[in-house]
Amino acid sequence: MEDKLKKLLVGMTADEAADFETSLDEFADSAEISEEETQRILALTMRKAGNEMENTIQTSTAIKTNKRKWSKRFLIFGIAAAAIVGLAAATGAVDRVQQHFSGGDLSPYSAEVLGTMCEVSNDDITLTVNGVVPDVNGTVISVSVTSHSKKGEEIVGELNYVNGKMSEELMDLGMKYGDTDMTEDEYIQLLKDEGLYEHDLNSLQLRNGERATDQHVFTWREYEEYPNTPEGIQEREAHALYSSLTTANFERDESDTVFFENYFVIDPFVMENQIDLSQPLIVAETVSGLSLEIDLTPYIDTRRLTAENGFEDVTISSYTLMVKAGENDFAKGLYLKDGMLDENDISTATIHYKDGHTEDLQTLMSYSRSVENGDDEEFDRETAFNDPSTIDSQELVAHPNGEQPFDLDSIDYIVIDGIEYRYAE
Amino acid sequence: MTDNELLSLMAEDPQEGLSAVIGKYSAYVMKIVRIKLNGCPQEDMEEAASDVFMGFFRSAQECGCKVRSVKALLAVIAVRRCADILKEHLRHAGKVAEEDAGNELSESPDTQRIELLDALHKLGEPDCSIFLRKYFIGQKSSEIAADLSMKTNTVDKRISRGLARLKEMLKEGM
Repeated sequence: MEDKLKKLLVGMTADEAADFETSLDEFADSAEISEEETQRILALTMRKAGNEMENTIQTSTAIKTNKRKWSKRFLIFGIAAAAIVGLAAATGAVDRVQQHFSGGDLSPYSAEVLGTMCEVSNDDITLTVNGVVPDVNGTVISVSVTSHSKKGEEIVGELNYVNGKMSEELMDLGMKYGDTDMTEDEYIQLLKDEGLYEHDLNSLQLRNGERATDQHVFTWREYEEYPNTPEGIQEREAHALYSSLTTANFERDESDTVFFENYFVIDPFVMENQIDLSQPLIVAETVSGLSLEIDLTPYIDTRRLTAENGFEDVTISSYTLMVKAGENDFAKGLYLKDGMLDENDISTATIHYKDGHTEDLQTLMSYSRSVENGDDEEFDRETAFNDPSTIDSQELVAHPNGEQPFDLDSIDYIVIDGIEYRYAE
Repeated sequence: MTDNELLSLMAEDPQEGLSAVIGKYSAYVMKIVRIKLNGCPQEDMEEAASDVFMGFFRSAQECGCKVRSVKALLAVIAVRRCADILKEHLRHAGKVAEEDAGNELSESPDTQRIELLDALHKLGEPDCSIFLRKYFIGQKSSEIAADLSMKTNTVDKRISRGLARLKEMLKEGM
């Protein structure tokens, strides 16, 4: 959808664009330029205009340098490779072939997962899971995998992930072509032409029931929005992983391009993104065709909360408090404050811990409504949004304020919109 | 000077008129170019901006300076020029077949686009502006938020919701 939007809008005629005059006025308001820049542009243009009037054909301007830093949809492809290369090159360690995150123990579940070993037949590679942060309702899924090779350097050589030159080229391509209207197929062809496609960058896979990921590398995240720090890289990778799972929920467009940017995909407002807990959630790490699969389901601790006269579906896991309001709640007159008409008027949530301290959470609200647009759109929308009967569903999501997960055992109760919720028996 | 006065000046004295258009709109055009060619050297961006004004000059001359919206025409030319620059880059790298290289974006009305534009207008403000900035001009959510005095999260929410509404409207319309 986003890809389509971009293509259609770029094809807009000047007449069609004129209908957006007000929006363009606003856009122009904050535009700034120095007098020197204006003078240079003026001089350049006047020279061209002069040449043209003399019937000299002005050839189009070629780009003069090869190294540019574009913000790019394809860049994550390069980054995935760079993360691998960077680590292997930095450590020089034979037994650390591939590690996607540099952040050590990330998970409240690590103790259980740590030590999970998989001996792959017909080879001597062993993969060990270092840490897993699965959070079924929220935004964080991180996997750290270390590969141990009994054959030492020989195996590393065969795996051949370590090639700094390759990664720089790959990164450069992502930067150069990320904002072009090149399709994913064309980009893949470009990589093949450059001899850069044969690397198995799709090594991390998430599967949830029938849904499986295939290409987590082709996401539309704008790279520069993540800081280039271990934490930033970790976050970016986690988002890419999560998007790779959730995009399986959406129809892909004709070019099979993932058309949701990562931060849309992880948007808790898109309810279809929720992982189906009734199905196994599996992380698979593949190195040179060898794979390790871990079913994360047993490690996900989600607890139900209840309150008399409260919402029916309230859960909390390590990283997410979630309220899903539906028909049964509405029938009782219970609604979340979704902030649609007033962004400050949204539902609140406070955790009360057993030791007496409290934690106010920042809530993220979403809703689904069926609203008809009438002739007088603004009036009708206002009226419709004030009418609770148009609400199909609502959702509240809140995450820990800091980086640490919720300490579920220490929670006494949670107050949501003034109602006290406690763990269900 | 109003846009009508600018266009009148351009009709009477093309060079003087062009100079006045640059004086008034160089910041606006450069804002688009900076977004589209983010990270590109300054001189290339200024070169691109001058191409945009030349494109505007030619278009205005062709239609006898009867331009419905100066800003809109400049924006369309700027967006396309920047796309062309990237295409040229591809061509120089030998990645685009010569016969495809000259393909220009269609000027003809496109049913899908008309439906999309109609749906965009129906989103109302500020969503319509947000979508134009995001998908036509290519602004990042954080930049849109700063321009419109919103939180980035709010912009993202509006886009997320707007996409769902657009999808629905287009499904119904087709």
